[in-house]
Amino acid sequence: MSGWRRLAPRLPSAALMGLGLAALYKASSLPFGTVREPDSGFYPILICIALAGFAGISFASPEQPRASEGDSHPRGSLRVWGIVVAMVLYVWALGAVGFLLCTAALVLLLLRGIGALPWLHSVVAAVVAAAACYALFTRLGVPLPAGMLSF
Amino acid sequence: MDILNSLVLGFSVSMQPMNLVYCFVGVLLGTLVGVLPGLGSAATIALLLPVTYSMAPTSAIIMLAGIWYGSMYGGSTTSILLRVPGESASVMTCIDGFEMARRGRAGAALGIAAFGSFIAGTLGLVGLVLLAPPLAEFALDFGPPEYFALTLLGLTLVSYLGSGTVPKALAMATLGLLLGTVGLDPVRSQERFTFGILTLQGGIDMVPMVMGLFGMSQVLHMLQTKPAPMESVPPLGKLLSLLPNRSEWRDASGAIGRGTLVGFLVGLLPGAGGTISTYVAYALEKRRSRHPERFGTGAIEGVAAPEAANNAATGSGFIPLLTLGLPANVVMALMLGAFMLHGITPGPTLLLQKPDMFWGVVTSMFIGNVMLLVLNLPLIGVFVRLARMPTVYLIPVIVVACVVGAYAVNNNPTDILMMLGFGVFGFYAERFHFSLAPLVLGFVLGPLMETSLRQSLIISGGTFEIFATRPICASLLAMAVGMVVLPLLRRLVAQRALRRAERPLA
Repeated sequence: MSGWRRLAPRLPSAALMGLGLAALYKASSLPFGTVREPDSGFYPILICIALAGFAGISFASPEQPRASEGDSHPRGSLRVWGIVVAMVLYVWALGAVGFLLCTAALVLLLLRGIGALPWLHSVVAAVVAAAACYALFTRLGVPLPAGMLSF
Repeated sequence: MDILNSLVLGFSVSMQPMNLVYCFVGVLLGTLVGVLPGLGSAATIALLLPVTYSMAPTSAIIMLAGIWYGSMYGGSTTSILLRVPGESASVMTCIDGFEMARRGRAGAALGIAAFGSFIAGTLGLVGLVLLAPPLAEFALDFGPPEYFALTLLGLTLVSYLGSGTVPKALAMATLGLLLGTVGLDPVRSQERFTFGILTLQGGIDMVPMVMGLFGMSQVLHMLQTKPAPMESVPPLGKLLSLLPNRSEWRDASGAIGRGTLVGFLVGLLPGAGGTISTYVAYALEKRRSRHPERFGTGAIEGVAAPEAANNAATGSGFIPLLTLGLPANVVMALMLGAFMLHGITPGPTLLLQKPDMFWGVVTSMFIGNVMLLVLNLPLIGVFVRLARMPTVYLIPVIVVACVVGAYAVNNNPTDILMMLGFGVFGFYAERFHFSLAPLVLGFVLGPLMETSLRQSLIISGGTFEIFATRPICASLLAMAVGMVVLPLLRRLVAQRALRRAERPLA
């Protein structure tokens, strides 16, 4: 097994250890108080030390199961990151474009792009889903942004 | 108030038309969730938390509770007919249930699963009714040291009994505790880990977090993996005409009784819950059977015991939450979140301050169990068709629910990004075998743990003796320490024995 393959499953533990140490650095600027009268930094410092410690033990542990590869879809990672990027764009456009259009576009992408459903089927389902969701949640008192359709 | 009067009060609340409707909606959704592989009860409860904002608190909890115990019923159908467990608690049912179906006894397996679930669910609730009031009264004497010890024990148990390795689970639990410190210090209102961001002053919102961890991460998992092929199902008319016969009932009745007891006891333990109870109940039945070789080839006890266990565990799982305010598993942590969204803190005082709510929720579960029994057998055909539904239809539903749910917390698009961030984190955490349950429990229990630790130290004048001199606190801490130390000692002894055994060879 190559060095990288052996190291890869340990990276999340290393990242958690790094997070614990970074948080410890940040928490050290908080007032610690005393054991008799603990202040704001007392508990976070203990937690950060524990986090770094447990993550360190996990990193050093000889039993490191490999990331589950299972029956992965051939373009699984592309699909995952495609949706993540699409959702970031959704949030960016939500205020200006509005919930209805953004959500219809997102559902269309999921049905047509991921599910490979026919165009007509996908467009109708996307519009109906977005409109139904808008009607339901605005009725429940959630002010979803109307955006370009606010007339 | 004696138990009979309490039950009358409870039924007067749970039988109100709106509460009956919410109970029905909850158990129906729960059954569907149990049927659908991929979408668990935790994810569904997380997705529906924002919907409960506009509901009365009792109705909201009745509906969410229905989803949980309903999912335990639903999981058995697809496990038996398709060998597809909709819930992790139904995995053991697959083994003998599917073999029974292959041998033409699907009706018997489905019947025993439904009736066994009903009997165990009802007995589990009787246990809850009998045990919760005295435990709540006992817990009224708990002070900060006992609560600190309880939270520590809860997190330790969750980390030891959950999936994945122990250091990873403990790291996730402490990460949850750390995330719980973001925002204002509960005692002095000092900002912590807010990085000057105003929205972080109130802390990380639970709703976007759990929606991301359980809902969005599930979507990413579905996108990443290929759906498993499903088995063919015999004609449904033929299935239902073959309900359990007398000899099958005789074989299953003992297993249902033992499964109920095992499920009830295991369900009380933090971190254990329905899934582990099914393993224990199945192993127990196999061990005490005169013909253990039948297990795995279609033994009806192999269906009855795990189904009884997971349903009994749902009732007992509510006991730590309703009496101590401590969630025993991730679904109960979400329930705690639901209580808190409505400004209610479950715990020993809930029974005194809101008996109508406490007993209303408990009695609704009796009603829900009856609804589930009536729902389950006639709708098997629908459930099988639903389980075969391609995930492409499910993905947009979950994504839109996550987006709207996260946005609805503060009407702020940033919460959608937070939800997405937790979704990506949850997806990769699970791929690397980091369990998410300890993270959520740590996040939920963190503020209570911090406050009780700091109060204990202030009360004791800075000495840690307070944790050793109070008997309940000392016992709880001893259990927590034992959980950590005993496996280490066992490993050391085993290593020494191995070395001794290898020496003569060398």
